[in-house]
Order: sequence, then structure tokens, then C-alpha cells
Amino acid sequence: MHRNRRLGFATVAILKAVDAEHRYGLDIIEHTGLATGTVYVTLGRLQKRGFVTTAWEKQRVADADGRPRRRYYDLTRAGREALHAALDEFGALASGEAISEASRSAPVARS
Amino acid sequence: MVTSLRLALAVGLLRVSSLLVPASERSRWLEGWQAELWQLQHHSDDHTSHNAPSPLALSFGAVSHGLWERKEWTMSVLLQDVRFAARALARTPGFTLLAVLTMALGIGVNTTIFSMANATLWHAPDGIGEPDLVVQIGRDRDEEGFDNLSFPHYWDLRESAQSLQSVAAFAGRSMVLGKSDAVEVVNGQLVTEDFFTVLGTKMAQGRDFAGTDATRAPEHVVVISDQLWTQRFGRSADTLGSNLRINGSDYQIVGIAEPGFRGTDVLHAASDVFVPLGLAGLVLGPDYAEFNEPGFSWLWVVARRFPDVAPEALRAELDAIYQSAYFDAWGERANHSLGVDFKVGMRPAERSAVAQILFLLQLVVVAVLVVACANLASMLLARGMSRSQELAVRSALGAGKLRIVRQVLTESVLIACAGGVVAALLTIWTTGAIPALLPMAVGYDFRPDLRVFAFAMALSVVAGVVFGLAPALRASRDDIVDTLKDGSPLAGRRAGFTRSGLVVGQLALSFALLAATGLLLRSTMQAQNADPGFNTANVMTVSLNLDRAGYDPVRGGLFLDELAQRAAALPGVDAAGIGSGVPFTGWSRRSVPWPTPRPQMSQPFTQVDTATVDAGYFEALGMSILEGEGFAPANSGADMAPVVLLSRSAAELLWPGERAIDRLLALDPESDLSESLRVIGIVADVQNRSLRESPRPSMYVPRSQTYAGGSSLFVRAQGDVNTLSAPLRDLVADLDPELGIFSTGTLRERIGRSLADTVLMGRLVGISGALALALAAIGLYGTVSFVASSRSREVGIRMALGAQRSSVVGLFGGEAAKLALIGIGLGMLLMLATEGLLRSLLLNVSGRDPLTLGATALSLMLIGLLAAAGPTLRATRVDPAHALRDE
Repeated sequence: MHRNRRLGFATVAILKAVDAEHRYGLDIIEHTGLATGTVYVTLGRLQKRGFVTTAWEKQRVADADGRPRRRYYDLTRAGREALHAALDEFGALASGEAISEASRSAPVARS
Repeated sequence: MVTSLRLALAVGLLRVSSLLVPASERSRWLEGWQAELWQLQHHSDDHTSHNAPSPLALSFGAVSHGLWERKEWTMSVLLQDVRFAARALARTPGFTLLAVLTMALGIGVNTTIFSMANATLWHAPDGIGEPDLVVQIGRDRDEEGFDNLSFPHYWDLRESAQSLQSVAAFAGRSMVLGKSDAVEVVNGQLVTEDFFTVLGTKMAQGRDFAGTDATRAPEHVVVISDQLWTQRFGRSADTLGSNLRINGSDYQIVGIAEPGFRGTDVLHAASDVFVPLGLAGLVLGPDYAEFNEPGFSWLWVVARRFPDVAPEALRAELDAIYQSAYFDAWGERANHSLGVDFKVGMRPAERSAVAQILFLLQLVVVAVLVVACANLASMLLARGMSRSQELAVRSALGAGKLRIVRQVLTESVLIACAGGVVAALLTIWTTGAIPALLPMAVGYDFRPDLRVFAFAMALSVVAGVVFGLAPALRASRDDIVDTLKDGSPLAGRRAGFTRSGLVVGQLALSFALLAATGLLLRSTMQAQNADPGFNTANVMTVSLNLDRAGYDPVRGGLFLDELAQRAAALPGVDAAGIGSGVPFTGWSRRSVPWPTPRPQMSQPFTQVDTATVDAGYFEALGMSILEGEGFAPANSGADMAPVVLLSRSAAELLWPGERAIDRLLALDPESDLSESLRVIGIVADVQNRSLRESPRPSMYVPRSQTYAGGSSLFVRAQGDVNTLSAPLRDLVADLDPELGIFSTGTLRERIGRSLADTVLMGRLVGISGALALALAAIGLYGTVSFVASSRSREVGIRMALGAQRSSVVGLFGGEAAKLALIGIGLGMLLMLATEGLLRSLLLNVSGRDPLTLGATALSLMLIGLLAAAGPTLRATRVDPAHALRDE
């Protein structure tokens, strides 16, 4: 239903943050500067759409660092493709190319 | 200090918001957020980012995340429940179909009545633009209600009112279209030139009267309705510009109004022709030549107000204008005020009467829905029995009680919604059939709109929850262990009680509805046999209006003489006469000054119903002269001193305790009868307006001395009165081919129409009662079947021990009879408690009429026993060996 929906700025920012190895909630919040609620709800949605997966850190890693374990997010292939398609579109927008042209040539995000 | 307080707050907020998250996810969710909070606290120094939120901001983020999780979860569970319920229902298609149909009936009758209310009470008539800004203006008189105005008062409002954008006046009258064999009578309206502007009505073709000079003689033009264009002209392209003959004169058709528009009074008179008001004298006859006299109130006023004027300010301004004009005209203060009604369509009194009837009907159909719900609850309980194993397994596998309740409820709401959809579709059909059920033609479009569909859906959800609640709670209360162990829950007995209770309730409601139907039917029957003081049995009436056909009094008088003579000479006619007062239809009133001063009376006048009649009128109606003499050439010739006949109550009113014969009755000076009238006889009292009213004081003036252009022919037949219908029409057409007949009908039909509300209620309550009874009978059948099958072992043992079939019949028949009796008893109480609601609709029948109540009780008992007969007989066929082996 929402396979080809264009991604909003916040979503793309979060995908890009995760792609850049900012993999847990607070890190993404600090990196993107987005509101806490937005980041978590968007991560939840991205998970439902299959753009990100989430997994708990191994307890011993956390113990070794002397902190509670973290919940890490990773991009899926579909998430990465969607991110790149969106970045192409944003790039086209920035460089002043015709948007319709760019969005037609850009690969379509699939979930 | 402050930091640690903030931190504590943040932790608390996290814990509270974790409650939003479904229990199964809660601890993980909380752990993740606590980790984030820890991270924020311990590592924020390392971060150079300015984007780090405060602990509290982080916790608020957790709240929105928790809300989102909750929403997602609820949706998925709901979807799951719906899928599950749909699968469960699909497994038992027979049950599902019956349940959906039952619900469709229950909801369908409700949406049907609701769409009637929707069309009549909440919608302006079709074709009116921005109806919220249109107001109706009239005299607000205590006794008479909302009343019409005279032309000068309309003009004052139009010239002076600042709160109104535009003001229009209109009057509706029957009008005769065409000539020779194409004559038809339709409702028409005389309207001021800005009538369509005020109503915001557009012309589909041509123009309206806007912009014509109101002070000059109007052109002979007419605007017709789309309906008339279709029916009379077959939507022909050259209709516009052609001539239409109305009441004997030709008018050019200059406009065809937008489809649907038929004036504002669509309850009584959906109109098809609209003629400029200035032509009143031509269209309606000489009585209307002076239509702008200040004392002649005949106009309804509608206006378009400015949107930003407060209702009170508008009322105050218009009343002030009216009061000063009234004082100028009459030199005294008015004893009433000018009323403003912020709706267009029905007048306030009509609207409240219609609302009252529809409210009563809605109550009735809600009762049907309750019966349907009870049926479904009962069916679901039985289904619950057979599914208790399944539910117990689910429960054992960890489904909470709430989850089970929700699942059963989802099922019932799903059934109800499916029923609601079917009902909405049914409503499209039933609302099309309503006009046939109504005792009179109305111009409303009852077809359902979005509001009706929304009502159907809302009602479905409520009904689904109502009938699903008992089975759902029952299902959640079953003891899992017992159920799993032997599969026959003890709860079965309790459910049996619940089902019996439901059946008793259904029977009680059915009883009340059927008894109400019986009372209404008896009222209409009483009406047919009622004695209003005149002969109703075989009298045909033919109503004419000579004024509107251009007759002057001399020609008109001759025409009526000839009509009466030739009608009397028709074969099969016993008596024929002419009169201006048609019982139960139209009757005029006249102010009569008190013959002797009555200081205790506030008014110097009293009102007396008046008709212009001849001797044949009394003969045809079988009204006897009690004292003195009736009209005869010897006492009421055209050139003799004017005479009058009084009804007994009129004589008693005017000269209490004295002999009225030979007294002189003065009329008010404005009257066309300037001389005093000599009373020559006393006539029996008749109920001339309504069977529900006691006879009003009446007087009869002779047709030989007064002329009334709006008169009717009354013909009494020797045999079947309906055979006279065609010869009478032919007779009128023979005398004047252009003279339209306004209405014909037997007096009995007219009485029937005067009781339209009772007839309508009788029909609709009857349909509802029959539906409720059918549902209740199904419910009783189901309950007895259920009891019989759950006790088949017991029956087997009894029969093995030598019980006779008759005693088994007695066992279950007795059970059914017991339920029916309790139901009837409760229904009787319900009826006695609510009969007040019906009283205004009943005629010569008490709300506690023992005959009706007894007959209803008897037939309900009979139907109850019939419904129980099948399952009871089945129970007697139990093979004892078989039943015992099962044990």
C-alpha cells in the first residue's frame, strides 16, 4: 500500500544516521537533532515497513562496557535502497534538476 | 538536587508510560528506554552534540512512543479479532445468515423511520439555497399558533426591516390547469416577484419574476415545477414560452424551476405552478381583487436574513415594525406578537406534530430492534454453549477473560454491522415504499442520505454491543476446568434462565406493540362506524371552485342550481344538495357579536362555523331540523329578509336557556351580510371538523340569499355510492368543460383522511408489531428447542419409567405457556404504563380497552404455543433406549 510513498525529511535523516553507524536511539537523536518521540515512532514505522531491523546487544558486551545493553538498529537492503533513492531525489532538488525527471529516473523504493 | 528530581521524574514518567505498551512487550520496552536514559546521564559529557535532550524530554518522547505502540497493537489485535470472528461466522453460514437478517430487520425499521425524520424535520424542502438563512414570519397567536399576514404587513417588513436581505410572500391554492379533456387540478402558489430570490431557488430554464416592478400590473406569466414539466409536458423542448391555461386564463410559461423544487409547503401542498401575486384577483376570483386590504390576512411570509443578525435582535426588530403598523392600521395595540421561525418548510405547529408522531414511531421501532437484539443474544448464548469447549481451550492457552469477551463482542458487532449494511440497502427500498403507506400525498423525498447511513452504522455498533454483552460475559465466566472435563457446563442452566428472560422480554414488547396496533385499528374502525351527526355511509362529494373559473355570483348561482337539479335527476340518486362546508375538509368561521352584552367575556365577538347551503344539503347529509323549519322557497327567497339556521349548540351559546327561533342575529359590520339574520330553525349538532372534537357551534345561511363560489355537491346514493363517481364527473364536464374538479370522494374517505395520523400509526405500528411477534416466536421456538434438547436424557428416563407422551407434551408445553403468560403479563403492564402516549391518536377506544387487550393476549398465547409445538413434539419422539445409552 505504502510501498512507493515518498519518504519525509525526518525519515531520510534517520535512515542516513543509521547508515552512518549511529545505531541506537539516543545516538540517532543526538546526530539528527530530531525530537525523541519522532525518532522512536519513525524507527517503529521503518521496522514495520522492513527498512530497519532491530536487535538487542549481547549482554556480555554491555557488561564489559559497564552499561545497560542497547537496542541497535540496522538498515535492511530495502532500507538502503530507499535511502539512496530518497537522497538522489533530494540531491536533484538541491542541484535544481527537474524533480519529476529525477523521481522518474530514481529507483523506486520497495519494501 | 534539581537534577536528581528531574531524573526521578523522568524515571517515573517512563514507568507510567510503559503501562501504555502491551503487557507482553512491556519489560523489554522499559529496559530499552532505561538504557537510553542511563546513556544520556552517564555519557552526555562525552558527546559534543548540542542535540542531546534533557532526561524529561527523553521521557516525553517515550510517552509518544508508548502511545504509538498502543495504537499499533490495538489495530493489529482488532484486525485479528475481526478476522477470527469472520472465520468463526463463515463456519456456520446458516446461523450467520439468520443473525444478519434478524439484525437487518431490526436496524432497517429504525433507519426507515429515521430517514422520515431526517427528510421532514432536518432537511429544508428541495431546491432551497442556503436554507439556514431563510426564516418564516407570521402572527404568533396563542390559540391559532403561527398564522398568516396581510399584504400591507408584508410590505412594511419588506420596506423597513434592516435585518433581512429580502422578503417574499406567497399563498397556496388549488388551481385548475388546461381545458376540456386535459383538465387537472394541481397545487399552485401566488408569489411576490422576489419569491425565488428569497428562497435561493434557481431556474433550470428561463427566468423567474425577479426584477419586475411590484407596483405595476404584472404580466400574465407562470413558472412551473420540473415535476409538472415532466408529467404534463413530457419535458418537451418548446414548453418554455408556450401558454398554460390556469383557472380559465392563459399564462406564458417563462421559467422552469430547478428539479425537486415544489415550494416550501411540501407536507400538504407540493406546488407545481407559481403565478405573480398581483394576479390574485384574476387567478382566484373576485374575492381576491382587493388582496392588499389590511384586514385580509392570507399570505405566508418568508425572508432571507443577514447571517450575522442575532435571532433575538431579528425578532425584536420585526415585531416592532409589525406593532407600529398594526397600531397605525387599527388604532389599538395588537394582542399578539410577530413570530419568526428559523426554519423553512413546515410551520412550527405542524413540525411539532410531525415530530411527535415520528418520535412515537421511533420508540416503536426501537422496541422491534430490542426484540431482534434479544433474539440474537439468545442465539449467541446457544452458540456459546456449543462453542464453550473451544473458548475454554483458548482460555486455557492463555487468552485473558477480557480477550474472550472482546472476541465474542467482535463477533456480535460484526454481525450487527453486516446487518446494518443490509439494513441501509433495505432502507433505500423501504423509503421508496413509504409514500404508498401514507394516507396523503406528500412532497418529501425520504431516500436515505449519508446521515441515515451514519445512523445505521452507529446503531449497528450499539446493537452489536448490546446483544453481544450477555453472551460475552457468560462465555468469560464459564469454569474452564468443568467445561474441559465433561463438555457440558453447569452454566448451561444459567444460560437457560437468561434465554427464558430474553424470550419473556420479547413477548412483553410484542404484546405492547400488537395491543397498540389493535387499539389503533379499532380507532379507525370506530371512525368508519362513528356517528358524527350526519350520514356518512353513501354520500359522494364533488368540490368545485367557481371563483377561480371566472364565474360571477349570478352565473355561479345559476350554475349551482342546474348542477344540483341535474345531479338529483341522475339514476340511483336519493338526494342532492350544494354546500360550502365539507365535513372534515374545509369550514369557514365567522365572528358573531354577542346578541346580548356579556361583560364577563373578553371579546365582543364569538366564532361560529359557517356554511352556505341549500335544503338538499341537509337532505343528502341526513341532518334533521330539530325545531322551526328548514330552508324552503317560502322562507328564504333571494329577495326576502335574510334568514339563518343555527346548530343546537350555537343557539345554546348565543341565547342560553332561551328560545332562539325568530331572534335576530347581527353579524360584524365587515361582513358581506350587513343585515341581521332571522333564526328560522335549529339543526342537530354535527362533528364537522374532526371526530376527535366535540361539535362546534355552527350556522347555515341559505344559498338562495348568499353566494359561495367555493362549494361542493353532496349526493346521497340509493346503492353503492362509488358508481356515481363517473356520472358526476361527466355531469360537471358537460356543464363546463373547463371547470376542474378540486376533489371528489365519499364522506367516509374524507373521515379516513381526517384521521390520517391514526391510520398511519396503525399501519406502521402494525408492521412493527408483526415483525416483533415473528422474532419473538422464533425466540420462543429456539428456547423451547433448547430446553427440550438439553433435557432429552431426562425425557428418555421419564419415558423409560413409563411416562406417557402426553405428560412430556405437558412438560414442555407448560414451559412455553409459562413463558408466554409471564411475557403477556409484563406486556400488559408495559401497555398500561405507556397508553398515555397513544391517547391522542385513539378514537372512542380507551387505551385499556379490555376487548383489544384480551384478544391480543389470546392470539399471542396461541402463537406462543404454536411456536413451541414443533420442539415439544420432537421431544416426545425421543427413543428412551437411545437417550439412556447416551448417558
